Amino acid sequence: MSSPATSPSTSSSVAPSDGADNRAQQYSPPTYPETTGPKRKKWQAHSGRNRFLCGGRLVCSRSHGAFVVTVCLMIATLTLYFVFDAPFLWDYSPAIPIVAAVFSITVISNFLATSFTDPGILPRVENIEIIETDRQSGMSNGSSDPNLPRPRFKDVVINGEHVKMKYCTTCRLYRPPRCSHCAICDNCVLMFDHHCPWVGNCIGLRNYTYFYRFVFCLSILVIYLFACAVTHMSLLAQQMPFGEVIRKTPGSVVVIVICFLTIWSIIGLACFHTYLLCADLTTNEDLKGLYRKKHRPTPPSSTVNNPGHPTKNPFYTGCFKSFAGRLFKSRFPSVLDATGYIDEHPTIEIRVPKQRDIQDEIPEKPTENV
Amino acid sequence: MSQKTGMSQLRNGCSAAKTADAKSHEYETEVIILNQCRKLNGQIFIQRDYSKGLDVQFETEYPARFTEKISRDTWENTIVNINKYFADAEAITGRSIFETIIGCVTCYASYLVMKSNYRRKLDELQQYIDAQNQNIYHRVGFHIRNPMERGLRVLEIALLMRAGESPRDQPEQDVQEPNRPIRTM
Repeated sequence: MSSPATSPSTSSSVAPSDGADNRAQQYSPPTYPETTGPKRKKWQAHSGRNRFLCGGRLVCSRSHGAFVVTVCLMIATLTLYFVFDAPFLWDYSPAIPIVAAVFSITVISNFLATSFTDPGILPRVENIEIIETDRQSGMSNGSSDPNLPRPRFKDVVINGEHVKMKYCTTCRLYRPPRCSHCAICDNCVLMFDHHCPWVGNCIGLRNYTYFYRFVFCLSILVIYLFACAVTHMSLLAQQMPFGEVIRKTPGSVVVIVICFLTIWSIIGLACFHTYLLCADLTTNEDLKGLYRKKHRPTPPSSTVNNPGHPTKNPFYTGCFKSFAGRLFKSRFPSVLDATGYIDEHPTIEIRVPKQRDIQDEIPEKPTENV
Repeated sequence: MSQKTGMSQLRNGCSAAKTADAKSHEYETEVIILNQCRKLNGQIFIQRDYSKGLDVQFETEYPARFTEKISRDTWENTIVNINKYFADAEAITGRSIFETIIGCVTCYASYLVMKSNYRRKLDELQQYIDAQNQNIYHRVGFHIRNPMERGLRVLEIALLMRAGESPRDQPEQDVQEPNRPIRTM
C-alpha cells in the first residue's frame, strides 16, 4: 500500500488510515503510469540553466566565468592587503585593520548570499493549468476554439496605470509585472533587475537586497583599501627612497592598482543602484526606459484597445517607502521551492460524514443572505 | 453583514468538527486523488490582483462555479482573510526590520536558524486554509490549495469528486491527454 499515488499528502487535515486507502484504490485506480523509485526533488526536474548545490539549497547560474574572476580578484586584493599593509598599520592603530576586516566579512557574506540565493525564479507551468486557463478564458470570450492563438499581452491596471503582462512562451505564463525572462538562465525571474555575470546569478526580488549591500559595502571597502595602501606607501616614502619602498611592499602597489582600476565602476554602480532604489526602478526598466516619455517603445499592434503606456512609474510610492520596502521587508519565500519534493499525484484526505448523513449536512450551510 | 455570516459559518464549522470528534463513527476519512478530479471536473483559478501593486493579493471576485454551494459572504470572508495573511507578511514592521538587521550582523547565519516572518505567516495561512477546507469547503466538494504550489501566481481551488459522483458540468475532453504538446503562440 505504498504506491506513490496515495502516499503523498498535500493536506495535513486528518491522519491517513489504511481503510480509506483501500477504498480510494477501489473506485479510482490511478490511470497515470506509476513512477516507482525514490521521489525526486524539484531542482532535479528544473529546466532552466541553473546549477544547484547542497541539495537544491543554493542556486546559481551555469555560466560562471566572470564569477571566478570576481572571487580571485577579491581574494587576491584582501590577501595582499592583510599580508603587506595590515601589519604595518596595526602599529599605528589596531582599529584600522579591524575596520577593514569587518567590511571584508560583510562584503564576502553579501557576495555569497547574492550568488547562491534563488533570485525569485518562477517555476514553469504544468500542462494541466494551461488547459484549464484556456478553457476559462474561452468560456469568458464566448469562443472555445483551442487553436486560437493566445493574446501576447494581458493588460492590468496598477495604481491607475496600464501595465502589460507579456506572455512568456518558454515558461508558459503571463509574466507578472516587473518580472522578466533571463536569457542566460532561461527562467522568468520575479522583479528581474539584471543578470550579473560577476556575481554569477540573476538579480531579482529575493537577492536584490544582498546585491545592494554588497555593492554599497564593496565601494566603501575599495576606497578604504586604496587609502590604506596609499598611506602605507607615503609613510614609508618619508623614511627611504621610493624605489626601496616598492621593493619593500610590492603588495601595496598591486592593491593600489587593482583598487584604482575597479573603484570607478564600483562607485558608479553603487550610486546608480541608490538612485534606482530612490526612484523605485529596476535596472531592466531603467535600461528599457519604460516610464520615460522620450524613448518609449512603439505600441504593439495586438493591443489596439489599450488606452496607452504607463506615463509614470506605477510602483513609486515615495523615496523612503521604496527604500525601506526593498531593503527591510521580510524575506520573500522561494516560489521555486527547489528543495521540495515533486508531487505528481497529489492527494488529499477529507473527513466526510457517512453516506446517509450527507443529505442532512448540506442544508446546514447558511444561505439566508446570498 | 459579511462578518456576521463568516462568524456563524466558523462557529458552524467548529461545532461540526466537535461533533465529528464526539461520534467519529459517523464520519470517515476519504482519500481523493486530485489529478482524477482535475481531469473530470477541472479546477477554479483565482488570479492575482495587481491593482494595488506587486504585493501578493488575490482577486476577491466570486467564482461562478460556487453558485448554490458556497455563499458569497463565506467566500469573501475566506479570500479577504487569505489576502490579509499576505498583507501582514509583506508589511514592514519592527519584526521584519529586526530580522534584517540580525541577518546582516550575523552574516546571514541567523537566516539558517530563524524562520522569517513571511514563512511564519505562510504556515499560519496553511493552517487557516486547512481549517476552512475542513469546516466549509470539503463538505460541498471544494478544496482550496496552498497558493505556494502555484508560485503565488494563482490560487487553485480543486473541485472534488467523491465516490459514486458523476463529473460536474462540462467534462473537458482536452484534459484526457495531459501530456500532449502545448502549442505556444
